[in-house]
Amino acid sequence: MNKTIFRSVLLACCIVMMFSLAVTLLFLNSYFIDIEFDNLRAQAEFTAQAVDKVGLEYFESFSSDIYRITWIEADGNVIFDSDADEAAMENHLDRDEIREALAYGHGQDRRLSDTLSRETLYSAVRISDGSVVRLSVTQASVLRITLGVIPYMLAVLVLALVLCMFISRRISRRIIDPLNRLDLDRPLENETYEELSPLLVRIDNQNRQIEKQIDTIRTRQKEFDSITDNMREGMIILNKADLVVSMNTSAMKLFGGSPSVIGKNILVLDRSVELMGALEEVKKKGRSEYFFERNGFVNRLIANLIQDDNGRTLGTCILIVDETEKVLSEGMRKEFSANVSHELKTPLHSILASSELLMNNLVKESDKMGFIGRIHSEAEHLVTLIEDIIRLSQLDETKEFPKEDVSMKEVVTSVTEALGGYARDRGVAIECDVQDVSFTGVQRLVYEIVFNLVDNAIRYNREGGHVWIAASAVDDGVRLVVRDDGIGIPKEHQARIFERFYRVDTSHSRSTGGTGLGLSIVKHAAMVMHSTVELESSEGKGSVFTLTFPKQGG
Amino acid sequence: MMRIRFNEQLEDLNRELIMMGGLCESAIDTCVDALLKGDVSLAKEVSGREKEIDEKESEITALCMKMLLHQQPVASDLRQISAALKMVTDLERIGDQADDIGEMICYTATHRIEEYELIRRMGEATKKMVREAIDAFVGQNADLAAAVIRYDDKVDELFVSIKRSVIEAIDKKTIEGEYASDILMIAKYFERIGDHAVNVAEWVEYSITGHHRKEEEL
Repeated sequence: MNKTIFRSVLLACCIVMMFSLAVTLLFLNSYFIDIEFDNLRAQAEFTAQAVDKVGLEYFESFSSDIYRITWIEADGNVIFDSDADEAAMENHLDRDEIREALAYGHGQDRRLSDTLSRETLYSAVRISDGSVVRLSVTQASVLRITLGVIPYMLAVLVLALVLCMFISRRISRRIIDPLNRLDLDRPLENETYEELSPLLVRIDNQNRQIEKQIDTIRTRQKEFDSITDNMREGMIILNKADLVVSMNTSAMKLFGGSPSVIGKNILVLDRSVELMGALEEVKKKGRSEYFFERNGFVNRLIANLIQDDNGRTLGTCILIVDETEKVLSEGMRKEFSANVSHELKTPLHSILASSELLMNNLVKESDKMGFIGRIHSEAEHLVTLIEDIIRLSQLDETKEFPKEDVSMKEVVTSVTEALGGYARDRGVAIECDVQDVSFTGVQRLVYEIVFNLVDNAIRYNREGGHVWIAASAVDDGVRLVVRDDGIGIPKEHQARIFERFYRVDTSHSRSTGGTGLGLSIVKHAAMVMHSTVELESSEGKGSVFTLTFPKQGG
Repeated sequence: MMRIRFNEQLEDLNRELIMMGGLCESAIDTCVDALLKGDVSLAKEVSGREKEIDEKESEITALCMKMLLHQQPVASDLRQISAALKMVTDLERIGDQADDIGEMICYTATHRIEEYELIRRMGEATKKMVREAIDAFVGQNADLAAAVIRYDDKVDELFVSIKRSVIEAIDKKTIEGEYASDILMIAKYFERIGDHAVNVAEWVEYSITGHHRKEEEL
């Protein structure tokens, strides 16, 4: 700005200076020449009169540094010249001033020298004998004067330059100052050059447009954030250079990051070889996934390349899904099928071996009954096992059970009747303290629960032990307590005894019989009726199972 | 324009260093894992890691040289690049030593030895040092770097106790010569890894504060 103003001011200055110089020179020159001519003519006339009177002698006394005097006859021959040898001079009849003087009594002319640097003014007057007296004076020409002025001009120009600099700086400052003070956030409230108002209106419009767009973006970002923040899955979005663009709360929790990580490389957060590999793979194949373990959870990380319609890569989207349950349940399923085949195979092998011995007559007659008895009991065990598995799978598969009124007293009575013989065989006493309470539930399942609990209480008991069954109404439903003073369950096993085929006695010996499925059935059946199962037990002292059935059993 | 390009290159350098750090961590983690489980196949994995680390080292060195020559950085930029140049050599040595331990695991059933507990503690301690040294770099955390440097004393102590225990066993003739030397070597490698982690931490400190500890000692 300053430069432009400086340049234009300087240019204007120069042009004005040149122009005025030219005009002044031309005007003054012609003015002075006119005066000079007048002067010259006066002198010439005076000289002419003198010559007219005195004749050639006048010239003898004539001496002048300024004027040159020439006397020319009417035929053009030079009679006298003050500066040159008259004999050598040519005929002067063709000179304008002479011709004019001969014709009109007076004539004048002005001629430039060969070098153009000097100019000679001539004034001629005719005297009475018809000859002409001419006076001439030589002075510097306009060009010469102009050239002479140039150094002064240059000095003035330098002065003008300095002045221009000073002025232009002041001008530009004065122009720019209001521009600098413009409040572009509120363009319409400014009081400034009115030439700027279209610009300011435009800026105002754009400001408003930008604000609106930012608002939209912000709302969208907020929406996006609140959606992703409520996701259970971790989500991270990376740009082309793997810098984190967005990261939801779940992902932050998982990687232990803070919001400051946004805008940084993802490797700042996690520099595991797996992630590096996945990021590389995703760029080559467009997708990559792997499992990793953190804080006891198994996670699956899925990375996907984000591309626009033209196939240009925009970034990477990373999803982290908690697969702990899936992996665990897969493991449990594997364990379950291994257990089932083991549990089924053991009695079958026993049956096969015994029957083979019997078939090949390798058994003494007296032992035969024993072998047959073993085959029978193993077959019986198999049947119970299969029944249990069927029951459990029914529980697994059936979603809805018909609900009915269940009387606790009736159920407990039928269970004690069914297990009475078994209890007597094992020398265990059953004592009941059951109030006449009822609730809405599934009769068959309640029976299963009570049967399995009591069966276990008798099975894992000792000679002369007791089993207490109690049922009572509580605030929110019916409470069933099955207590025994049997062998108890060691602490480390208590958490797992509800798992299928889980046995405290890991040798899988069937000294006590039992299938390892009883408590699984109890837990499942209780779950169907939204009942809670609590266990209190100490090794060697016995166990207490407490179930609370809600009044409206689900 | 130049500055933007330079910043991009610095960002690249940072990323490459983190990647190299991650590889080193993985190498030493795998190595300690293999050592504790006596798993030979895991031990062999370490040498693959070590090759990747070597590649990364030459990549980073080339990048640093390019930046030094093309951009002629000054002040903190120069500090960052020179620290990076020094750090990669230490990281590379960590990888080498993890690989050396891995090789020894293939020939020694270390998980059966009496000094197992001490070796385990030493492995875990160096693992922690390497992890935290790299954490300090990633987070530009001078305090953490200082903590790593202090922690080296523990690793040194452990080395001394392993040495003493092995000497005692030799005196009592309860250890075979080969085992004795292997255990001592493994312990020494761990001790060296700890030293390299300290070096890395020192360079991290230097790149943040502009002061290097060794400088003051000289």
